[in-house]
This record gives sequence, C-alpha cells and structure tokens, in this order.
Amino acid sequence: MNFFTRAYRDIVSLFSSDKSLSKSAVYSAIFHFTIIILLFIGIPLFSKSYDSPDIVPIQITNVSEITNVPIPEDVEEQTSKKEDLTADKMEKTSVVRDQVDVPDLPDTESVSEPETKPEVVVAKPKEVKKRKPKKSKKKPPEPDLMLSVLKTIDEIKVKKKVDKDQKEDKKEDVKKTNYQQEFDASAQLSISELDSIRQQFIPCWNIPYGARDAENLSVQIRVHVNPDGTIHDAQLLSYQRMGDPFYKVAADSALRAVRNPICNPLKLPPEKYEKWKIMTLNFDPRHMFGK
Amino acid sequence: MKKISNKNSFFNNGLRFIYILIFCFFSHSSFANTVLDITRGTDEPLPIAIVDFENGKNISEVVSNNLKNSGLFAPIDSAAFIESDKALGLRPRFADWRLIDARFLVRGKTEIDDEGRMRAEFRLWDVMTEKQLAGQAYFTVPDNWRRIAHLISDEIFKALTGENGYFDTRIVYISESGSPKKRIKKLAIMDQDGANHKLLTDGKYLVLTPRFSPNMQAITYLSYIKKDQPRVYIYNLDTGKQEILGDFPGMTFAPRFSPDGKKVIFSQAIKGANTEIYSMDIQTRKVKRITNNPDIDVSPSYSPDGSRITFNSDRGGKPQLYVMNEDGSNPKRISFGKGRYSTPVWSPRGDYIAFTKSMKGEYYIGVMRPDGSDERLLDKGFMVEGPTWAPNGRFLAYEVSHRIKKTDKEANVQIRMVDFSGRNKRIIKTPEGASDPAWSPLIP
Repeated sequence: MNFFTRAYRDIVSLFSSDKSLSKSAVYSAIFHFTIIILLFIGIPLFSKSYDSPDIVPIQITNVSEITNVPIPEDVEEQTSKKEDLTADKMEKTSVVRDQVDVPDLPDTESVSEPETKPEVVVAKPKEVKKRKPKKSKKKPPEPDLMLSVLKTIDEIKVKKKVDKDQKEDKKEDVKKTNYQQEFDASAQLSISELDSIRQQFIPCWNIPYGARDAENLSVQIRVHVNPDGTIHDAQLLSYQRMGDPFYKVAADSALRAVRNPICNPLKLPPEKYEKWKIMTLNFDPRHMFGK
Repeated sequence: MKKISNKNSFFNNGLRFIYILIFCFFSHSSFANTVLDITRGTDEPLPIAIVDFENGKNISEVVSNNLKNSGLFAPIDSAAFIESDKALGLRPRFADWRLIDARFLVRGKTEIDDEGRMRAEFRLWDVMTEKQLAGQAYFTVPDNWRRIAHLISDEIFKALTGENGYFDTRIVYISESGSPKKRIKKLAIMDQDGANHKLLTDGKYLVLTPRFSPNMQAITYLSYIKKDQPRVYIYNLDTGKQEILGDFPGMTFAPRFSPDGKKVIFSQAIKGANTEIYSMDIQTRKVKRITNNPDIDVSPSYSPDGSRITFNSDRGGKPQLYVMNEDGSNPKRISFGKGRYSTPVWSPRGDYIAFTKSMKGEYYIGVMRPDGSDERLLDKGFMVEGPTWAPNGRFLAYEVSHRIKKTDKEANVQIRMVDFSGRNKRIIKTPEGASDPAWSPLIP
C-alpha cells in the first residue's frame, strides 16, 4: 500500500475516533494557517514605511593648491590690540605695509581706468593716516609721564616692554597658526568667491540649448572688469572656430552673457581687484545636457 | 679684433635672447588672471521683441507665433515696448530694449511696388551687443505673405541657434473622420503650423503611412485598392501627379526614401519567405534584398549619409532596434532597454534615432544615439507612435491616439510636436482627426 494513502487513512481514523482531538487539531490548523497568512501578507502593525533620509546635494568644486582663508575677526582684533599697545611695533608694521602697498598702486594705475585710480590711491593712505594718529595719541602720554631724570630708566622699561611684546607677538603668531602667515588679500580668489561669480552668471547666460555637439562648444572669453564690477571689455579668445555656425552661436551667447544688465555690475570682493580686473571665463554648456 | 667683436656680438646676441626671454616671461605674467569655468546657464526661452512690421502686421504675427511655438523664444508683449519708432532705417535705441529685458529685436516692413509685387524686409538685432545679426529682403506676390513669414522665421532661427529653421515646411498626414467602425482615411497636407490645410485624396480607398522624400516635394504612401492588396504610390506635390510604384503584398509600412531620393527601402513578406528588408531603385524598379535571416526585419530607415540603415528585428527574441551597413552587413543591436522597440527613424542631423517603445501597457516616443547610448523617452501615453523628424533634426511630430470608445463619433487622434530634448509639447490643430504624420524637407 502506498505510504500516503496509509497516512491519510490513519489521520482520518484518528479524527473520527476521538472528537476532542479532532477539534483541537482543527483549532491548531486554523491557528497555524493564520500565522502563515500573516507572515505572507505582513502584519500591518510592523510594516511601518521606511522614511528615507533627505538627500543631501553635494557640489564638487576644485580646491586650489594654496589655502587662502581670511583672518577671523577675533584674531584680527587681537593683532590690532597688540599694535595699539606697542607704538614702535605699530610704526614698524605700518611702514612695512606701506612698502607692500606702494608697488601695488602703480599696477592698478597702469591697467585700470583713470576714474578708479584716485579711489585706490586715496583709500590706502587713509588707513595709514588713521592708524598713525592713534599711535601718536598713545605715544605722547608716555613721554609726558617721563621725567627727564628717569629717562634712562624709562628707556630700559620701554625696551623691556618691547621685548615682552615681541615675545607675546611670537606666541600670538603661533596661536594664529596659518591664518596671518598665509592670508594675502590680493591672493587667489577663494572657492566661495569663484562660486559666487559662477552663480551670478547663471541667469545671464542663455545656453545654446539643444545644439549639436554641445560637448565641444566651450567658449573662452577674456573680460576686463571695472573696479565697480561692470565689464567694460570682452574679447573672444577662440576665433578659429567662428566658421562653425554652432560655435558662433555659442560664442555669441557667451558674449551676450557678459553684457547682460543682470550681470553688470558683478558682485566681487573689492580688495582683490587685482585678481578679477582681468578674468578668463570659460563658458562650457556640456554639463547642461548631462554629458 | 675680429674675434673679439665676434665674441661680443655673440655675447650681445645671447643677452638679447635672455632679454627676450625675460620680456616673454613678464608679458605672460602680465596676462595672468583668474580663469573661471561657467558650466551652468539658463535654458529659459530667449526674450525677443518683435515689432509689428510696417504695413505687414500679419507677417510679424506669424513670425512671433512660429518663434514662440519653437519653445526657444519668448516674444515680449508689444504693450511693454518703450521705443515706438518703427522706422527700419534708424538704429534702434538699444537701452530702451534692454530696459524691458529683450535680448533680440526684430523689425520689418512690407511695400507693394508698381508691378504689384510685395517687398518684405526685416532686420534682427542683438540688443546686448548692439549688432545686426540678420537682415534680408524678399520679393513675391502678396498672396505669398505667409511663406515670407516662415522664411523670415527660419532666418531668425538660423541666426540665433546656428541651425536651419523648420518653419517653411509642410506636414503630410492621414486625416481621419467617422466612427471607429466606419473610419474614413484621407491623405492631407498642411503647413507645420497647421495653416493651409488641403486634402490630397478623397477617402475612397484606405491610405496609410505617407513618407516624404528628403530632397524633393514628393511622398510615397500605401493604399489598399482591395483587401490584402497594398499598392504604393508616389505623389509629386509640385505637379500634383501620382504614379504607382508597384503592388506589394505583405507590406505594412510605405517605403522610405534614401537620402538622395533615388531609392526607396521597405520591408515585405514575399510568399515563401518571412518579412525581410529590400531596396528598390525608383527609376529601374530593380529590387535588392538586404536582410536574409529567419526572423522578422521591418521598418528600415537610412542614415542621412546613406551609409547605414536602422531597422527593427525580433532576432533577439523581442522586437529591438538594430543598425547595419547599407548593404546589410555588420548588423548590431542598439536597444537594450526593457520593453519592445519599433519604428526607428534616423534624424536628418544624424545624431539621434527616434523610436516608438511599448512597455507595461504604455507607449513611449524616445530618442537614442545611433550607438544605442543616451536613450531618452520624450512622451508617453495610451498610444503614441510613428515619430517623424523636422528637417533640422530638432523637433519630432508623432501620432497620439486616445482610448477608443463605442460612443465615439469622430476619430480621437491628433498630431503632437516635441523638441528632441522633450520640452515644449504641443498639439497641431487639424480640422479632423490626424495620424501618421510625415514632415517635409525645407521647401526649395
């Protein structure tokens, strides 16, 4: 006899012989069945929808090799306090600054327009003038307090003071870490500044939409920018391909972008005029088409 | 002495060389500046001011409508215009146009000369660079004003996109009327903007799948004189003459022209063989078999240079798109996505192949590169199919049909247009239902 038919017969006889057993067997079957169904469908209580975390958009920008971070305000304050305390040192630093500033000016004069020259020339001496009176105000009280008899003693004191300040300065320098050592107002534009310029061009530049070979239509334009941020001259650097009608349209679109009133004036950091008075802009539409 | 002088000159030359080197170095450094990549811009339609043409407001209106429909331009409402001087000879006051944010300015005029001919002239200005970008004059009979408007639109489109326009073109299609059971199908033609609508056949016989010749104003289409007896006609639109190309039993799509217009290519199930691809010389009527395999190969379309053919085959199991050489050699599968692909059409620009795709009960219109990359679906619906390219390869027209109901009294089918990037979908208005569009080349 077949194994299955025998087993079936045994089960049937078991149920028919004992009513209570058959009842419990039915309950057990129902119970197991519901568990299987629940497992299959999934218990609604536990099937909470999984909240996916918000997507954080990340823009990848190229980092220049040399860091150029401006000095945080508190560090600047500390240094200025130091400068106030030590008149001699202040004078020294101011002299040094003058020397740095001077060679910068002729550059601006030679390249930028006459209108802007005075502003630059006047602005920097003013800073020096402002600081000098401070020193002179603080300086006089010291000599007033000194008595002619105690001149020598005072000289020694001043020397000590200067020594102390110099030592403190050294400590400060260490504290300042890289800030002052590496920050130079006329250095490269920072990533955020470059990005800000990029952002400003977005509404101004109507890309050559749907043009053929958009991946090969990058256009280089050299712009000469006034100190107020307006672009006063724009030259196309790649004339060779102007015979290609698609390239011509791309070049025209870039030239229109720099002349667009929305982009004139551009918001640029005035202290870095040397770095943005001439810029080469590379208008590249390839990323707009997901290439 | 001589030796010394030689030495001196050598020394001087050397010094000069060094000076030049130093000069070069400094001159280079004087140009050193910030280099910035601008990789993002706006793809919003370009604001363009189109001033009513002197004595030709109807022309400027059609131009404005054309440019707006292209989706690339946004004509500015004339109520915003500051400069009211329409005189064409005068230089525009660009500052006024910049104030209303116009990037371009179009002005024009028309005159009727003593002989009754119309002279239409226009100028396109770049408001930002203050340069004239285009300017032309046309002579024609006054009744032709609409065509002049299309030609001007094409000229503007070309100057601003670098690409030929598509406004001076026509679309031939199947005009459908009547209930689903008694559907009447007639061959019809219209301008790309839906104007100048004309019926070419009377609806006595069923007509299907018209195809335009890429270089002349001629179409092929399929007509059923009797059931199961498709006949292919060539219709010359210029002369109005039509001739029979032949009877092609087992044909479902009308033949497509080769780029030179001398050949046609088609698929046909000849008795004793399955559906294969053939080409036929129109003059000699000599037929050449191109594919030869046990699977179904249909709907072939030439590349614009005529060297390759894209077609649809089920040799891989499901209908997929393939590309092969013009002689049938080197077939390569290019579609690998889910669903079934059909009706591939090579763009006249050559850079994309448009197709119909069906997936999960829905139909899609899409484009992909001839190597199968960059697949993009542009539209979807209950039934969208049969894309046809505008001659500049930038726009597509296709058929959109809606679910048929028994209560329908008229054909619920339309022609829709889309930019090949998927933007700017719009329906072309037709007097009756419209299906199977085929876009003409630019009218010569």
